[in-house]
Amino acid sequence: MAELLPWQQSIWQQVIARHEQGRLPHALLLNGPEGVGKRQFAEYMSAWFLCSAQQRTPCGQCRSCMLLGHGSHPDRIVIVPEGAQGTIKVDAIRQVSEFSAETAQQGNGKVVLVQNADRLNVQAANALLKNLEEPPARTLFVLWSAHFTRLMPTIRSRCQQLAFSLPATEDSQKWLVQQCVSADQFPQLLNIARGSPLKALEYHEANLLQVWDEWQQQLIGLQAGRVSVSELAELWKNRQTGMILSWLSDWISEAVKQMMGAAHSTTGLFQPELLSAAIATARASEWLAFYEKLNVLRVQLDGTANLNPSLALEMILIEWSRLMRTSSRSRVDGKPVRN
Amino acid sequence: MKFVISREALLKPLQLVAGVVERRQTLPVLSNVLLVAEGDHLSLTGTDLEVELVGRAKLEQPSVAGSITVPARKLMDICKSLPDGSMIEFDVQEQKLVLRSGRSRFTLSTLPASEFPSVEDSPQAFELTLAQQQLKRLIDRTSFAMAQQDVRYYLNGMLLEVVQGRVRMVATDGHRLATCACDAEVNPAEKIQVIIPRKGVLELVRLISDPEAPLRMLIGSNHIRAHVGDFVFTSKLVDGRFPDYERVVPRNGNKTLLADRQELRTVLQRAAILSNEKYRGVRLLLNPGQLQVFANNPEQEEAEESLLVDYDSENMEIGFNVTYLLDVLNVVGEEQVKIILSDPNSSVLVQEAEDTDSLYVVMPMRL
Repeated sequence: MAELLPWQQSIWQQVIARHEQGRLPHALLLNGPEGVGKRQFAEYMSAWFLCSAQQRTPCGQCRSCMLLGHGSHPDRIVIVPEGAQGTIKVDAIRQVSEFSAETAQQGNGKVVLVQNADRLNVQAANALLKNLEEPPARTLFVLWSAHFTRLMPTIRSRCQQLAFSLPATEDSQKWLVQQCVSADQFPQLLNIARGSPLKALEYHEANLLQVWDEWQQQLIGLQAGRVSVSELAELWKNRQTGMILSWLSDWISEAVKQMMGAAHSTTGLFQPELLSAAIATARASEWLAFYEKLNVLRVQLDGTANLNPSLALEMILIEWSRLMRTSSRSRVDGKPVRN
Repeated sequence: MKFVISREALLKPLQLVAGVVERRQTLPVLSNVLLVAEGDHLSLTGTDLEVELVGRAKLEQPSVAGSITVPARKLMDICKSLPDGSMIEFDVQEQKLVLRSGRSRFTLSTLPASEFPSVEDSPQAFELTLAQQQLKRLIDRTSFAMAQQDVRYYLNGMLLEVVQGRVRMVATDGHRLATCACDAEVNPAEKIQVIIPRKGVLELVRLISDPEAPLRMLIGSNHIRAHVGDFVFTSKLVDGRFPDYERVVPRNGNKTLLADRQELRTVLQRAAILSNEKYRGVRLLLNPGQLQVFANNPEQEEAEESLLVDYDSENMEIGFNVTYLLDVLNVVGEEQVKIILSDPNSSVLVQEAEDTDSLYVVMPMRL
């Protein structure tokens, strides 16, 4: 049974209000950062749309709700990215066209869900556009994406957008406690997950707090020369490369913030020794250039560019070591960087 | 759920119902058949979400009522391989279906009936009754013209139109159009038009077994449902507007050609051999009293045929895709076929000389 997350109530009320005024569009694009529950919202919305009871929430009792619960509802189609590249190909969208050409099997309308809509390739996006432009009767399209600007502008313009933002920390904490995350862990988990409660829970379940400690230890090891760039790249490649790189990017931004004199916003999150070593260079511009480079690379790794992850990681690590070395050379006060 | 049934009583409906179930399924429950036992009847349901077929079988003795879904193909293979005349006992125990017959015992996995997406009766359906042969004639005479996987999705099916006293079917792929109508005792408040998808049409006509028997059809807003003998067939509809066929039928033809259907057909078949394999073009030369047919292909091979026909207007040359003409000649029934033309760039009307229930429109080809 699909459920709303507690922080989505108000946005749900907006949707219902629009529906009651007869202003609910045929296509919605849910945008917002990862891990705020866009998929849950889309699932909930499709349950409500297909429900026979036609109330403000899905009833959970009718045949449609039962079939949805079993995952065998015939009038709902979910398109997810597939394959090694994680794209949505045109064949999947052709299914949507066939699906939307025919009447609903259970008679309460049809729903098309497109997960990570930014992963539509060009042909697929154009094929989907055809459906969005001439939507069949009683059919609801719900697309969602954490990077909606990567979507074709023509698709964006044919969907009404619903923005999802990160829930307030208290809301996230309340929810995490309900999900049985121990109270002493969630502040750190939430910080690592950049405030996204679903990601924090995922990290908790995958026991990533340990990985979090490890990767910084590994960087310290790299700086101390205990581990080589290629060894570390190999280690990280087998982990979620994207995740570690996003952590590294957070780390740089934290370092630069502190260089600029910001307060310690995420105290206790990063190893202080490593941070202070980076800060000691006082070369924010260089770190920022590195930050740019890292983020470009992350987008490329995330997209369809055929990048070799080991080489990309090695490049990043070499650059990182170079910057860290500059820092120890350029130090003026003579304090040792390494402990 | 528990019941006993003879192999023969089960096998026929099971085979037909399992025929609807596709092998390649995205949802596991769709490869299953739904069994519902009630009183002394068993109903079997199979679906691929586009079409659904419900079959009924009689039980030897009253059952313990219940419903369950089991893998269709496996159940059918088991029943087929049991000896003739055996009795099969079905018994559901702890989410498994146990089949016993003689000294054999099988245990099949099941899924709950609540997972099965069967179609319920729609409340405001329009009801009409035809003889099975009437429907078969309507479909046989038109279904060849349906489009296949056309992007104009509303052409991948057949229009069913019900007006006062008449039922009509229309199919077109944009190059040719076929329509056939029959009289029926119907009285709809306003004209009903629905598009039955290609698969639905082809499956429906397969069910017709007893030409004289009546066939009850229910036309709802989302489905069409037909009660054929012991079976209930349901198909989804195509959600779209069918082209206005009346505007396509040419009314300005001033030249009439009458020919023997069989003769014309064999002439065209022979000429077709040497027509371009891709475009299938043939050239028809009409002279008073005579029709000449020419075909050639990129290899410079040529066919030339001529045939005596009843034609008395001026000479005319017109090209056709020969397949379109042959398709029509294959389905019409009478001895004589009538072709009404106007000029080489306008579509022609083909019909039987006497009977005007069926109309065929074929677009010419520029050669």
